Amino acid sequence: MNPNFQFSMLNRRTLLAVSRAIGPIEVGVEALDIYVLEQIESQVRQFPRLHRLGFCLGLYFIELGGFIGGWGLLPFSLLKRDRATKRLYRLLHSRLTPIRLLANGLRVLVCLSAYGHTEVERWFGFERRAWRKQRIATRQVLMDKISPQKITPVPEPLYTLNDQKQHELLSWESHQELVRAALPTLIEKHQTPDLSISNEIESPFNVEDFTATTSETHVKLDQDKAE
Amino acid sequence: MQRNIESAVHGEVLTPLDFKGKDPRLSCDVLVIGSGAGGATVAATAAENGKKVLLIEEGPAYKSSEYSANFSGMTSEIMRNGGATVILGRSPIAYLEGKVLGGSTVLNGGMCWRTPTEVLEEWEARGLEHLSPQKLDPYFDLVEEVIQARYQNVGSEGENNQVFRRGAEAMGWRLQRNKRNQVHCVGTNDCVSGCPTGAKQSTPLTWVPRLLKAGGQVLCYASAQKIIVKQQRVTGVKVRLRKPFGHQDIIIKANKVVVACGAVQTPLLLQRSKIFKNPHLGQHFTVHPNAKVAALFDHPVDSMKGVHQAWQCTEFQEDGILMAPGGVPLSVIAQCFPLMGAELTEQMRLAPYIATAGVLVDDSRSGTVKAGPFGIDLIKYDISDYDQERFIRGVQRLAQIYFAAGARKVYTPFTEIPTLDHPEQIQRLANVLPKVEHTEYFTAHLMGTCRMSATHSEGVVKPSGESWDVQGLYVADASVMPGTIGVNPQVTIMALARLIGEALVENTH
Ligand SMILES: Cc1cc2nc3c(=O)[nH]c(=O)nc-3n(C[C@H](O)[C@H](O)[C@H](O)COP(=O)(O)OP(=O)(O)OC[C@H]3O[C@@H](n4cnc5c(N)ncnc54)[C@H](O)[C@@H]3O)c2cc1C
Ligand code: SF4
Repeated sequence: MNPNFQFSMLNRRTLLAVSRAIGPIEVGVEALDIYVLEQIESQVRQFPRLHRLGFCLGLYFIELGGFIGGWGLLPFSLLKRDRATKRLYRLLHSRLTPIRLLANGLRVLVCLSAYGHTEVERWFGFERRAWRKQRIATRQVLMDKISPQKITPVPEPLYTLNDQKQHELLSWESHQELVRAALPTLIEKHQTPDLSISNEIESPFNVEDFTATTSETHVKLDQDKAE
Repeated sequence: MQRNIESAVHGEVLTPLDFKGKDPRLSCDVLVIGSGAGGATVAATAAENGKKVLLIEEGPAYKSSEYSANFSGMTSEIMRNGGATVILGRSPIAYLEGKVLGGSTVLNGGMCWRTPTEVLEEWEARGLEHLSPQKLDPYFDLVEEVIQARYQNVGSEGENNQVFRRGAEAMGWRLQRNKRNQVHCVGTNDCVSGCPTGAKQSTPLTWVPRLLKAGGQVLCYASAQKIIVKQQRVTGVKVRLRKPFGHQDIIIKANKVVVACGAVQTPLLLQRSKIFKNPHLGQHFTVHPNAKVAALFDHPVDSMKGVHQAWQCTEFQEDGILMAPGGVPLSVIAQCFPLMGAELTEQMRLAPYIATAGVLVDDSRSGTVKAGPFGIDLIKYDISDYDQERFIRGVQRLAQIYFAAGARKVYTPFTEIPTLDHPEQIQRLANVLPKVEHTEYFTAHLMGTCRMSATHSEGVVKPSGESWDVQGLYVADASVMPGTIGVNPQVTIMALARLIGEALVENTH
């Protein structure tokens, strides 16, 4: 671990380009690539020294490897986004394990940061932070409601709606009832602003169309394989 | 109550800033290295039996409220190597290890399973009579009470668990509700980056307060570098304290040292200390590998809402296959697809409609953990063809579960056949037989690198947990597991650590 580690200028350029090539720039979050770079830098700080060195050398390889390996003259950071993505796909399917590992490692690191960004999560319909905030407050209500003295012996659950049947107990709706019942208390005690309990999200696409087109692709894939 | 526990723990945890002198020398009866499932349990046990105990931990101490919603940020803070840890072999296996007060219990999903009876009977037959089902039962009872292993509250499960349950029920397969170590878990589904509500009863909320109450001490940001041995007897440990600017090395003297750094770090520390040679050290490494499966539904599943693995399908446990739903954040769903850029963005529009689960396969072979030159750790494990066949069967069954629940599409972990669009395509997996090299695996259950044995020639530690080779040196974590157990290991680790803690107190030499 080295808490003071920083990428070189060239490594930074490469990583910014990698993050644009892999990440969801269509979402339009400002400076997402810089956010991803910072997150990855703080993760790489935790690597042992040799892993860190290997990672940085890997970035140089991505930047200049096309020139050396003969699959493109331009340095990676100068490629347009779709060309850059294509080049990364090529590395992801390389026959050489270290190259595959490097490309996959970058994919994982970029996905972890880019798709974990608050705005990106929201764009894709995952209001994780609001949900989390609401749940933390809900738990506090439950803790206040059922005092530690009343904790049932293990393995019994701590809270059941006794009069309901098993399958109803486990349903999402009864949970929403529970939250709804707790709402006034929540507002009074914890002043949580976002108390949306809806589990409904507008569908951004037509599932029918999506599965239909991908089925066709698969039939084709099967045929290709058979040939 | 929760708040009191946390402030007590945090008021009493020492940090390197408490050491102002140039060469502080500390001493104690028992020094425990590592505060995870094994270390915290053994430390509390020894302290409750009157020993002067110091527990050291390499990572920081966090309060529940400090676990943030920034997933990638948390991986840097509380996981080894910033979460980028990989086992090499026929196909790389990603794994996670906690590096924080509480170790991997801070990251874990909280499932509480006792060791299966047939496994304990097999260990007993190998001469480890103290591990018989009858003898271990009271230990399991105690552990489950301390860590509050209980069924989930009504409604904390979410749709990700429900589609899995509905599918398995439609198939008529055996389903089991999971006990989890929690008090009022509300299903935020943040278990892997630290429970922000304080519901999950990881060791900083259970065994560590017991240790402190019994007069024990905890020191964070303290990394054991070398075990010191004189005349085949342990005398202390060289410890590196991480300070805001640089570090400081100190020696801590102890009559007994318990290494509980986890199944990877424990053999590495022992090998780097060069204090004994034992052919079993770093061998018999089992990982209980798993592979992710996802499914597309035409109603929102919101896999991030609701607890991880409220259920498990145990219908095929005899074949070594377990299946369980596991909700994950968007950033992990994104990794399920071998896509990038615009294609991935397009695919991810479906994320709220995607359910996720895993297939776990009981290992039929083992790997190795070796400290290599220049500080490089060589961690190796090859998935066997036999296990791969079971992975294929497991993924087929999970696909059956999802299609029975109404899935439109199933995403497999096999790059050769990444998706199944129809139940009839499930057979394709058996026809194509995807290769190990083209499968993505993950593991969280690392075990068995310092195994316990009835004789010196078979393992690294005695039935008491003491090393066969060095007096006063104990191991009490996942690495002492005598063999693979096929289920989630924390309860087994804690029960064995309790047993080792008692043996250590009784052993007066
Ligand atoms: C993501 C995830 C999910 C899991 N889910 C479940 C589950 O649902 N149910 C279940 O039963 N199990 C689960 N597990 C597994 C379980 O948590 C672990 O098996 C268990 O915590 C291992 O205990 P341990 O004591 O061997 O090691 P750990 O809990 O990993 O503790 C080791 C500790 O030692 C410290 N350490 C290491 N080296 C040093 C050193 N040199 N000096 C000082 N300190 C050091 C580490 O920082 C760490 O805190 C999961 C694990 C993970 C990672
Ligand atoms: S689901 Fe949330 S509340 Fe429940 S144990 Fe996990 S992190 Fe804690």
